[in-house]
Order: sequence, then structure tokens, then C-alpha cells
Amino acid sequence: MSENWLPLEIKLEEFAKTRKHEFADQHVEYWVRYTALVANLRQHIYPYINAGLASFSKSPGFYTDHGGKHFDEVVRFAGFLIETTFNQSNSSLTPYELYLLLCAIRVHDAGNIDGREDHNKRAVSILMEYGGNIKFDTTELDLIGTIAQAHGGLTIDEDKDIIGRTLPEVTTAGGADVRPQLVAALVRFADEICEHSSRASIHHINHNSLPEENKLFHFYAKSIAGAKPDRNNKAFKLRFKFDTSLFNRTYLTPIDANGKQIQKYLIDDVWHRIDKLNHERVYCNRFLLPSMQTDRLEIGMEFIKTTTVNNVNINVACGEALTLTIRDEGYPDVPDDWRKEVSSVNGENFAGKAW
Amino acid sequence: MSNNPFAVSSPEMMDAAEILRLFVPLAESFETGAPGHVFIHGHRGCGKSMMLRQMTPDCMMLSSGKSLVELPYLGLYATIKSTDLDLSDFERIHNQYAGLVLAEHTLSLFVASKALQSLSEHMGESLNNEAAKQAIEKTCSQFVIKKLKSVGGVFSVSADLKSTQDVLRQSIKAIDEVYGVISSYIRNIGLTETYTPYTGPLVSYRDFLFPFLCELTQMECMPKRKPVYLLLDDADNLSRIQTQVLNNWVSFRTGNKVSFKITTQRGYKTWRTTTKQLIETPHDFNEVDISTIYTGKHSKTAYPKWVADIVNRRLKEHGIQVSVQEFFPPDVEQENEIKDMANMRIKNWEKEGKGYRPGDDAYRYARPDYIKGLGAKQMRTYSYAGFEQLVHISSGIVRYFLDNAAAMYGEEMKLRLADNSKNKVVELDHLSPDIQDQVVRANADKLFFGALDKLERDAAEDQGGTSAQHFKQLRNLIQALGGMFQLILLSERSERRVFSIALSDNPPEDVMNILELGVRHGYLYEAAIGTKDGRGRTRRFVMTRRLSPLFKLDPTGFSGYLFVTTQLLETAILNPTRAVNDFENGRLGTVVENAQLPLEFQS
Repeated sequence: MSENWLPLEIKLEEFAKTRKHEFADQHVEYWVRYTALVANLRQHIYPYINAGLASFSKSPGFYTDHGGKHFDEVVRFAGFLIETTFNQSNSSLTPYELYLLLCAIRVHDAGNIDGREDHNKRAVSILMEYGGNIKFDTTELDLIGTIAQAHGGLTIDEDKDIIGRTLPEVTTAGGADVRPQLVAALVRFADEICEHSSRASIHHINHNSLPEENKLFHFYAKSIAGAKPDRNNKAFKLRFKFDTSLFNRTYLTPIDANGKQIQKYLIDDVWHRIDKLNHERVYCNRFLLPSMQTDRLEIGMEFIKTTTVNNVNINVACGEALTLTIRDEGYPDVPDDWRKEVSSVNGENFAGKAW
Repeated sequence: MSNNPFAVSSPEMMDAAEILRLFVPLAESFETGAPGHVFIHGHRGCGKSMMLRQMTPDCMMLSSGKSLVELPYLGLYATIKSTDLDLSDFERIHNQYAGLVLAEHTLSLFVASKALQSLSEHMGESLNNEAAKQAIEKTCSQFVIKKLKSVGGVFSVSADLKSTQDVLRQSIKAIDEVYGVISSYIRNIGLTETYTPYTGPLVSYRDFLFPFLCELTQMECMPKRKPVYLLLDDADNLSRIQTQVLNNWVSFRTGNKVSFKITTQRGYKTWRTTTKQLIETPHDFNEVDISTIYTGKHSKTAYPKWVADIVNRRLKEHGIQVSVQEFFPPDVEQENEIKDMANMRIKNWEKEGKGYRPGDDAYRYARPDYIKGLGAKQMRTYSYAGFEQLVHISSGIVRYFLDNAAAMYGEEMKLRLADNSKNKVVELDHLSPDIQDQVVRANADKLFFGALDKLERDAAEDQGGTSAQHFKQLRNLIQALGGMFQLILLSERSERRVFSIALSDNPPEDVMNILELGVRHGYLYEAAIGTKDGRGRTRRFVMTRRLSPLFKLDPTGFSGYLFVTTQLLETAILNPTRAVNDFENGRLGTVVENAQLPLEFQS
């Protein structure tokens, strides 16, 4: 057993030995397949993603870290979401689903090596090239690719419900039952929550050398002091530590799909991102098992300012702090589009109907 | 050009000029020309394929006088034959993820190949120039050749393509090669029980077909930035899982880029997508049912006029300058007798007439009276000749009219040629009533005996005994209905021309299944009607008039209908003779003598 592996990966290694018959094909060494994939990606892909992002994206620039560490982090955060579930019966992933989850995480952002745009769609071609034996089962390749692809982007008719519309809820692969929507929701939510200060380039922030339109990303990431799921309370805790000097001015946003750029304050951008995170939480919960769901976001904010004492810069906490819990509460406001589909089923029609 | 003016050839075999000469637009215009997915339902032969075929560019250019680039959309025609995608071993893996993706893969390739075929056949001369060749070569190379190679497709590519046709052929060939890999895989898994993963190339709608189709209308030689319409003919021939895949594609609301116009013969297998969601109208698509066009308010005049237009075009095409009524004359003696009976009624109306006005009364009673007067033994002598009767017998489906007419023309020709000792060119200016009558009778027999036998046999071979049993029950049902309708015609009731039943209660599923089987195979048509108590509507089933000679019924017009109970239907399905006897003895069913009904033409 290698020491480089994360808890979820160690779990897979164990399953590959002890629960062979629960995989799609009991004659395939899935742990070997997985480690070969990771080795190839570590050698040929991960080290070059940041450079690829910076040079081949439509809006080139200085992105937050998407290198090898990011993939390890997503595996770790997925672990936070499900590690305690393996002890409960029927509330966790099957061994083959765990394998699919890890493969999908390992390639989900790998397409960034050829630029940001449509990076999620390049998962399959990366798997074909670097996935080793995965390509000897084209449908497994497609399954992993489709799950990875559902971590972002839109369907071809520009619908955001990409998990619900591109993946079956339950299917069978070889001898194993698979819940592709469940696996995809785990990839997606783990990717969404694993955002913290180590992804920001402190050096460039300190030297104020970041391109203007990349500053918001980095300041946001830098301000995250802690982000961790709390499984006992089904909560996700997000703690910020803001340097108040960043609040004084607005920053340019990157060019959006319509070619627009606006000026934005950091704190407004933060609320926007928290709102998106909450949307993702509610969206992914729809596909997750109850044991994996997150009921609320607990946000904590501290504000610090830098003062100079005896020519030394020190950070001082301001008195002000903010805590906020975002959860599903009150009577839900759910869409009622469904009523249109049954508009002909109404009192007047029923009163006159021959039964 | 065929020598028989009524020969029906499949629209895919016809050139644009022929389509244009023969195609008569339907009486009502549908939303098929607007962007968005549409399902067009209709019985075999009611004009669905013609409707799709005339949406292809060559027909559109010819009819509108516009050039390809000016067209409002790019229509690509693809017909789905039952043999095309018949990979029955597919069912072995259909519960698997592999089944899903392989179905998507094969359908994507199939449709792409057909789209390229349509580009090669249905664009007239518009693409036969160097600029178009280069543009298409670029698109095909990037979106077909390179794409297929990138997923592991193996095929040879020539660098020296001389024409647009060469370019298209090369892409079609590449797709066929890739298709070959999956076919052989599917044949092979039929031979083994162990898990055999598919290792070949794999494409899908979102990463192959959709981008390719979108790109087509980005070229200068095409209707630029206009939507692509995929005209899929006979989608019933898809397997269940392929149907689910197609439903997935329909569930994407991509109308401004790619719209599907899909025809079915009411045998569409499911409305669920592969993720088990329902696709629904008007949400995801629009629906048109051509078979019921002529049951509605236009029924009395629109359909006969449409048929007359079609027949006129075909007669003119063959240099026959007579009216349709002259070409299909009725039995004069019989018609005169009926007219006399009608006149008699008009004279007697003031004294004893029922009904509302002399003309109405005469119309309603004269022909049934005539049939009744012929007496049980001589009834065979009633003649079904004459354009008007033939139109009614075709039951709203123009193919039936044309098929009958073609057979009549053939028979007439045989007779004339046999008499033609001097080898002169034979020119027909009418078809004799005897021959018309013979053909209609023979086809009624064939429909009831031959066609049902065949369906029953096929069902027995295909799916075991259950559905063969259903066809037996359908035959019983038709026989019972025909028998009852005949009794009604011969009765003293005031309304005797009954061709349809209305359900007075909700029959159980097995009975409904038989009724729907009848609808699917064209023995019955479904329509709605107001309930007896005037509140709401109930379902009504109309028997095809093609069977009228078999049961000696009057095919023209329609007035009453028979309200039936589940009990009657259940008896009919099991024992038609008993059902007819019970009905005769007044034990089951009531005829609604509803003089308020419009004299609509029912199909």
C-alpha cells in the first residue's frame, strides 16, 4: 500500500481485493487500472494544466491553481462527504461506483490542459489517451466521461440540469448496478466545495502583479480560511478571513460569454459565489443519498486590518464579525411548471366527463 | 414514369419534379414548417412520407423558385426501414449502460449517414460546384472524418476527391466502416455468455451528430444560420431503446438549430427518454395526426376534393383529359334506381316522411333502401363503383384509393389488350364499373382474411402466442361489428348507416388493447364524440369502410353510431356470432338515432 494515496483511494484498493465480485467485470484488476490512470495523468497532464489554462483559454490569464493538488483535494473532499457512509448498509457507494467516482474526479478538470472552454467535454479523449486499459471497455470510458462531464457546463439546449438530463438514475455495467447520477453529484459537489486559500498565488498577490481581471478569483480564494464538511451536523462550514484593505475598490471581472466585463467589489462577489454554492448544494442533494446530503452552509466571516507598529506590519482583527447559516427552512418555494402539464385536469372538465 | 397513372412509388424513390407534380398539399396547413420538434402521426399511406419528402431542398427550390441558400431551413430526409437498425441482439444488453450508449452510437451514425445521403441526393445541382465542394470537404473532414478517427475509427481516406459527391461518399463510407465495428460486436456477443466489453469507437448525439448538423448551416453554400430539420420517416421501426434515445434528442429544445420532424404509424414504442423522463407535448414537441384531419369539420368536402386533385394530376400526367367522375363512372342502372327511390321519397315526404327536409330524407334512406331491396340472395349485385363511393371506401387514406385505382387500371388494361387484335395503342378514358366493383370486393376480402392472417402469423412467430391471440380477437370483434352494422342497415330503424361504435363505459385494458390494435393496423379509426347525456366526450371507433363490401354495407356518408357496453365488446371478442344474435334479440347495445349529427364523412 502506497502512502501517497488518500483515504478513499485506499478504500478502493481494499475493495478491489476483498469485493472483486461486485465490480463490473470480476476479472479486471480495477485498482491497477486506476493507479495506471493516475500515474499517466500525473506524468503527462497535471503539471501542464495551469500553463494550458493560461495560454489556450479564450480569456487567457492567471487562473487559480488547477494542477495536481486540485485533483487530490477533490478526492479528499469527496472523502469527507462519504467516508462515514461505508459502515452503514445500503447508504453508500458500491465498490464499482467508488471506482467510477475516483476515475471521474481524476479527469474532471484535466481538459483544462487545452484551455478553459468546454474543458469538461474533453474528459473522454483524455481517458482514451491516458486511461490505459479503460479504453478496452468503451462503455466504461463513456460512463466515466459522462459523469466527469456533468461537473459543469450546460446541456446542448443550454439547460443547467446536466446531471438529470444526461445520465440515467440507475443502470447496469457488466455485473454491477450503477447509479450514475449519484456518482456525478458527488464529483460535482466535492469539486464545488474544495476551494481554499492554497489555490491562490500568495506571491503574486503580495507583489500586486496579478492581471486586473484575475484578481477577484485569487482574493476570494485567499480569503477562505477554512472549508470543511461537518458530517455529524450535515453542515458545510466555510470560514473567511478578509483583509479589509481589499474592500476599498472594485475589480474588473473576466470577460463573460457575452463579451462583457464589469467592475465588482470583492464582498459582492463573495455573496454571489456563496449563492452559487448553495444552489449547487440543493441541486446535488437531489441526487445524493440521505447519508451524503448537506443540510446547511455555515458561513463565518472575520475582518482583519494591517497596522504598522514599530515598522512591523501586523494583522489585527477588527471587532466586527459575521456569522450566517443558510439552510432549507420555511415553506419551500418550488417551481410549479408541472401544473401546465395537467392544465386540462380541472374541476370543470371533470364535472362534464363521462367516467 | 410508370405506365399506370395510379402506381404508388415510395417518395424516397421519386425525384423532385415528380414529387412536385404529384404532391397536393393537405387541406390544412400544419406547423411542420416552423422550428421545433414535431411528431406526425398517421396510418400507412395517408401522405406522411410525401409531406416530409417535399420539405427537402430540391422540392422546396422547385416549388418556391428560390435557391438553396434562400430556403428557410435545410431539410434532410431519412427513412427508417425495419431492417436498417434491426440488431435484435441489442435486446440482450438493453438494461445495461452499454445498451444505452451503443444504441445512441448506432443511431447517431445511422442518422448522420442518412443525412449525408440526403445531402447527396436532395440538393439538386446546388452543391455541384467548386466552392461548395471545398466548404463541404472542410466540414466533413473536421466533423466526420477527424471526429471518427479521434475516437478510434479506422478507415482509409483519399486526398484526391474530385466532386462534392466524392466528398459525401467518402464520409458515408467512413461512417459505414465505424458502424461495421459495432455490428460485428453485437453479432459476437450473441455467441458468448461472458462479459465482453465493447472496445470500438463510440460517438453520441451531443459530441458528433449535433455539432455536425449545426455546422452544415454555417456554410456559405447552405441556408446560412437557418435551422436544420431532420425529417425522420417511420420512427415506429426503431427498437424500444433506440426510441428512448431519439426521445432524449427530442427532449433537448434545440429547435432554432436542429429540429426533428418525425412520422409514426401509431406504433411509436415509448415516450420516455433513457433517463426515464417523459417527453410531452406541447412542452417538448408538437403533434399532428393526419388520419383525423378528415374526420373533423372539413371532412365532408376537404378529403374528396383532395383525392380528386391528386387523381386529376395523375390523369393529366398521362394525357387523359376526362373528369374524375367520368373516369370512375358508377353503375348507371343502379344509380338511376336509387335516384328514383329518392324522388319517390321526396314525393311522399309530406305524407309520411321522417327526417327534417326532403333532400336530407332522400339522401339518408334511398341507398340503404336499395341495398335492402336487393334481397338477401341477390345482394352481391350491389355495385361499389363510382368515384364518390371509391373515395368513401378509401376511408381518408389516399394510398388506399390509389392502390385500388392502380389495380383497376391494370385489370382494365389486361382486358382491352386481350381484345386489341390490331395492336393499336390502348388509351383508357374510363374504368368499367364491373372492374371497379370487383377490385374493391377483392381488396375487402384480402384485408379481412389475407392481411389479418399474415399479421397473426407474424405475431405468432415473433412474440409467442399472446399477441397472435390478440389478432384473433380483433378479427372476432370486426366480424361482430360488421354483422351488427349489417343488421342495422337491414332494419326498419330510421338511421341505418352506422359504421362506428361509441363506448358507453370504460372497458378494461384488455378490451382497449384490442381496439387499439385495430387502430394501429387500420381496421378502426379513433375519434371522440359527445356522450349520450351531452356532458363531456367519450371515445368512438369507426370501422374502416374498406370492409363495407364484405358486410354489404353502404359506404357513403355516416349518420348514427352504436353505443356499446363493455359486455357487448367482451362477447364480440370471444364469440362474434353470439354477439350479433344477442344484439339482434335486443339484448345488447343501443343504436343512437341521432338526427342531429352532421352528415360528416368519417374516416
